[in-house]
Amino acid sequence: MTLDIPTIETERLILRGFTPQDFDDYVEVRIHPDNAKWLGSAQSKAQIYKHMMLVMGHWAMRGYGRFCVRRKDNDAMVGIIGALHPFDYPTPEMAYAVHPDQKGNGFAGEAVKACLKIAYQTWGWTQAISMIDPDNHASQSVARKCGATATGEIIQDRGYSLEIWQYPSPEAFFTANPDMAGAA
Amino acid sequence: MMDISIKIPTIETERLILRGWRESDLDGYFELLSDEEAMTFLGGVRTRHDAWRSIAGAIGHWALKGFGLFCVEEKQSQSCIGFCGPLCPEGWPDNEIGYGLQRSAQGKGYGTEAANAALTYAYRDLGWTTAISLIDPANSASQNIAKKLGAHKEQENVEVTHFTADIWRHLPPEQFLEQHA
Repeated sequence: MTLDIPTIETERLILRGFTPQDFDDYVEVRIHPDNAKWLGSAQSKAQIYKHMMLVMGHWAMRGYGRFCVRRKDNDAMVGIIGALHPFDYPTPEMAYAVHPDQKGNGFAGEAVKACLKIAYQTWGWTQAISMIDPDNHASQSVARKCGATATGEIIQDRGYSLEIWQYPSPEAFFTANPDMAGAA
Repeated sequence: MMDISIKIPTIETERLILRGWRESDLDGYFELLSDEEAMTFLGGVRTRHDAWRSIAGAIGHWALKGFGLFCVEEKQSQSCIGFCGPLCPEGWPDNEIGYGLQRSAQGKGYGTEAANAALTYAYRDLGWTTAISLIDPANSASQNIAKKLGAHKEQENVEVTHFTADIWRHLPPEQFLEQHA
């Protein structure tokens, strides 16, 4: 297995692999109460570091994964966004955890769209979903801005009930976002 | 802005190969992680999903730190018999040489052979100036490996993240490389 993580630039964001210098900001993303209630109970720094190791190693296991997303203008961490495909899941999903200070600016949607582009153009995905708690309205709003629709299908995952949101097909996505249809 | 990629080196010893991880290593690695006796001092048995996450975590440690646990392959069987390598995740008291082998691979000197290679790599290639091994106070097999490498018990019952271990301090680089490498 090899590990190769590309760097992607969007209008306002850089998507790239994590480095040790990202750890403190990532801890803020994970432990903030607004996020911790969806990501599981607040964790120790050692556990969060292990999670960052897993996020990086996932790229080797699957060939795709989640990015560290930062703003171009001030380098602030927007969050951790990209493809998540645990061992026992039938399909990958687009997953995102956003820094509490960076919500409401459309950053997460901008990053998810960049991930859909690379998933469809480079990773060979023919469809994409997100699994979202029915009460997590902020997350639903991100998915909706990327064209996803709620399917009504609920799955049980480690004590959570999550609804499957379906993103547009590759063809529909690039039709709706013609500026993203260029080469990766 | 650079893309990130890693290359895990391959180290060959007399009977073992320490190398990067392959998908096919999951079976051998899970054989270790699911063995109640072998895992007594390594945090208890895990699921196959845990084993998958653990391999991903090992690779992620390489990506973040530039070093990490190797897959230990037995030359004879060409299969994964455990893990060994330098590591230092968040919360660790110092740079460590960690190791764990399937029960069927124990008692053959493999642990010493692998740990010797890993410590040599850490001192020679990574430039470490010191190294420890974290060992359960009751894990005499692991203590024996540390002793064979010249390590001594430095501190007892140290709380490390979610477990308690003794700190065994390895010989300093010059002395170790002269005597063991």
